[in-house]
Amino acid sequence: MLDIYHWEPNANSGKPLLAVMEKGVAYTSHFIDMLAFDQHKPEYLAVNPNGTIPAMVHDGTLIQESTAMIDYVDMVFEGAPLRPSDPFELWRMRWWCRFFDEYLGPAASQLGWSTFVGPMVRQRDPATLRAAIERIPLKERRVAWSKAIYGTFTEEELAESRARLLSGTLAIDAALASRDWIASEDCTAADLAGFMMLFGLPMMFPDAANDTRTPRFMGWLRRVGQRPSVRRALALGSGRFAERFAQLLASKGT
Amino acid sequence: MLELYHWAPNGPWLKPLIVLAEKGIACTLHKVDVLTFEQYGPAMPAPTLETRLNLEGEGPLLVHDGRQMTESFFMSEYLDAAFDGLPLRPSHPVTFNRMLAWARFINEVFMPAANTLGCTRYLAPTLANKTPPTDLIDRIPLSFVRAGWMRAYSGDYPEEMLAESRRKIALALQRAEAALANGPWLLGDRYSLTDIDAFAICRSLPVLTPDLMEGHPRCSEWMARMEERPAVRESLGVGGWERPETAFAPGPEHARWG
Repeated sequence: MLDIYHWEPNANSGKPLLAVMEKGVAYTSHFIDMLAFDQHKPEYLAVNPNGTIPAMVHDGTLIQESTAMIDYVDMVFEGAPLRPSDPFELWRMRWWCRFFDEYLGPAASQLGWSTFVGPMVRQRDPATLRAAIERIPLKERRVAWSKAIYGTFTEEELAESRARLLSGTLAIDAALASRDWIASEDCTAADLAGFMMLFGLPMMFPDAANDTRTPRFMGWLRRVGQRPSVRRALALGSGRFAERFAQLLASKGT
Repeated sequence: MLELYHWAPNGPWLKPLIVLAEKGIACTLHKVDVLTFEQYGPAMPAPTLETRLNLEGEGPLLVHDGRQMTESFFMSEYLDAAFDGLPLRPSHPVTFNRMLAWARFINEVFMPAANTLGCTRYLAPTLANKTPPTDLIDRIPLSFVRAGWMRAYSGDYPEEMLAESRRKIALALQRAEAALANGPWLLGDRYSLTDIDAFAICRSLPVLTPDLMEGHPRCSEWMARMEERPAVRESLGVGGWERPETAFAPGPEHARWG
């Protein structure tokens, strides 16, 4: 019995969804409305005491960390491998996963929050928002949500995020000069995780990601986006996520 | 041909040394003087796209038949996957998941915290009154590594950063203490890469935060168990450092948000 608790098929929530869809594993989906702060409510904290999404529960055991969930699915279930068998390519997969998770992902999500989500959430009742923040169990998450909701990113922080996305997309583009997939000759967890972190970038931050500046990065997004698993996962998406995905697939390279 | 470019056996540099010794892997060791920026100098192989951008900050470089790897934990995973000898990765998928979750926590929370306190206490005083080599530092590709060096030269560590680092170290000790209730090693019955990963950072805690070590008897016993391992003793002796646990250079950044 495999349960996945997730928000929209975007960023971290998208990773375990892509893993099970790549392997054709049956699972039960539980939609957690992140912007309604469902992830900090007692029902969900009973599943994952850290109050972070996504969560994966397999036969009663909580599997931790969205990127590591891909490893777990790969180890436990049959189907095409999601990790390279060559140890050096495995190292390269880890390197890119870390680059996406800790460097580019937070930069992209900070810009996304400051531009799109923050202003939307701030329309809500301030007392309700304050109460929602106080319920967050992990201190790091409390600080992050509070910054995101109140839009207290400094101009310096936002400039740093933009600089990281500008240089990071060039790094991805350079890596793809010699192969179609970021870590190996085949698609791996790094392509799946990186796609989920960055597929909205051409729409959100076209200065960093476009067919003139980063053609190979754009081609890679379309290549990953065409995979049946990715199409199925994104079909679960709504609103701006579905829209960004549709735009990506409809766009053509030069 | 396997080569490791390393500095003092502490923190990220200690991890691959222990893995090599545990597995009995022959490796040519090259000592790099990080404090004189030899890691950016002509004695090093030209970096690749990936090794140029080191999210670990300053750390070891492994070169195997021309293939370069940074990131102490992931190079340790590589050594375990590519070489025979004592297996150091758990085979059970849930335990393997715990290993990766620990690695993320150590990279993103525990290492930056211990590194901040270590640089404050041991690196900054040795650089006080020295002029930073800005021509060299400006060429470091990642902004937080540049900032880490400049902060070490200025000695300007905000009180909030130090308090936050202590909070993270207390959290790491609390998690380790809880994990060690289930067996002698962090993942339970079997010694693993997670013990090496955590120990390499924990080893400085008795000098950095002795007060926080108190009240964690299982952590203290586990550290003693680690110190007794011949491979650990051998690794700590590499290069003949007098107090390797005090050797620090700018490390990974504290998570910027979320």
